[in-house]
Amino acid sequence: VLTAVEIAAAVRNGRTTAVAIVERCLAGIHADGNRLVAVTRILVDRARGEARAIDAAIAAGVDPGPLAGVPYGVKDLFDVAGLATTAGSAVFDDAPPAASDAEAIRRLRGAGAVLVATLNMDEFAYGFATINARHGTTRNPHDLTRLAGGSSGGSAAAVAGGLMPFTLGSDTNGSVRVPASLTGIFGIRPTHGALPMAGVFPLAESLDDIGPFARSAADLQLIWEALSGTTVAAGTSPIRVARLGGRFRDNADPEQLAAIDRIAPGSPIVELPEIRRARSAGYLITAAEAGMVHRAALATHAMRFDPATRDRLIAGALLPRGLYDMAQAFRADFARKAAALADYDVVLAPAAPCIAPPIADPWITIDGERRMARRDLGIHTQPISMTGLPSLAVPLRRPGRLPLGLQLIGRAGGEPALLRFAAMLEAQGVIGVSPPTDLDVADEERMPA
Amino acid sequence: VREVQLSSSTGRVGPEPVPVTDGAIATAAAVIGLPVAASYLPGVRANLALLAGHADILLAPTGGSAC
Repeated sequence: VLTAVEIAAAVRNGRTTAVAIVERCLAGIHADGNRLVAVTRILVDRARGEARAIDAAIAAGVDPGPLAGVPYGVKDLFDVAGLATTAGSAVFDDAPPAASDAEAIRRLRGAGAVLVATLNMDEFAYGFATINARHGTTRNPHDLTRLAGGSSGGSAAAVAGGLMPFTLGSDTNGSVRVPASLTGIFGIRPTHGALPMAGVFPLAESLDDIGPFARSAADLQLIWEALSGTTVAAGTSPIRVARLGGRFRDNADPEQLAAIDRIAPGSPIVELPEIRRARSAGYLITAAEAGMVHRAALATHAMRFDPATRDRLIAGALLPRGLYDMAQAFRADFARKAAALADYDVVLAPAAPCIAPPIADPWITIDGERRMARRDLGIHTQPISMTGLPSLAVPLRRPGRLPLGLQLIGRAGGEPALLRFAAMLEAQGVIGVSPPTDLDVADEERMPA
Repeated sequence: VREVQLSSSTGRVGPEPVPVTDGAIATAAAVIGLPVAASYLPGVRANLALLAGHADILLAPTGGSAC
């Protein structure tokens, strides 16, 4: 599987064409036969048209951009001109088509990337599992009997499964970082508000962000630069690293903790106060805002919602306003306290707390109790969303074994340091993508997570 | 500083309680004009109970017992 960096270089210097790359990508998607339940719509005509435009630009001596001819897909909640934005729900099957692309897609097109598909997700992005009543449950490329995580599960599985070199997802409470962790790829939630949300269907607007998935730190940097309109300069100053302690060291896989301690031995262990309250506040804010978004539709055609999502949304709509206000007040105070993390360039923490749970038994163990994976896989990501700080999920290198991921948490606007640190760890062989193979999965990993 | 009242579900000081009984759910739904079919009530009630647990954690200075 070629990386985005390799494809763009080959297209720009004429070693191949965007049309050839896109045709190969489309053939791969068709050949997969939706084995991963990752792709919801294949945009054949659009992709071919964009690829021809790239090749025409090159033939005319015009630089098509740093992502020239790189195919990608987007979570089903990005506006794509001419298509209904379904947000993974049958509720919007008959919605009018979007008049224009989401701003993020517009930027990627300007950089030469080629949109080839829309991708599966939890309905309205409300979940951590991509268990979708409309399209089915997205499968983990490393073990098709396991979850890919969510809510951007289709975006993660498409990259991890080699269908395309990068994708876009969204992250409210961990919906990029959790599936990146479970499928063993890179995914970033940016500093809150750093990437454009125009044309993105909301889950909880005050917490929502978009973010890309990729198979290497270099690819992620290239995509980040195109989306953010910034350049990540080569850093020369040392990167100050700390480890996140307290509740983040509970409910983590021992191999995650061992990796964190190997990466930054002897580094300070810092704590965020009141993590449990932060997660609960995030839970309440998400429920209330999501309920508000769908209140009108629930009043008129509740039957068309996935019952599991419907009941969550109705419950959220019924939350007292005063409780929501208190949760937001707590969030503001928590974010102020989290500013103490700014003493460091990178703070290490687990991403998802475990390997991917089985689809047939989608439960995880938290504090010694069984919890629903679709609700609780974000135990370590949700509190970070409440801080507004950027967090990059990276895969521990463990070929032949089910993926485990870490979060690299940065200061506000500190994405360049996170990307540099990830590239360094990748070069050292500590992290990196391991292609799905016929896994010789250890017996303990076949047990319910 | 927000004015608070006693939460009937927890006995703690906090905002208006999360509706968890069928009567309280019906009242809250009527206030916002959201009809809740009887067949939806078990699922809605279960989700509200979960949210009430998170409200308990948020409102308790040292955190509650739920995850």
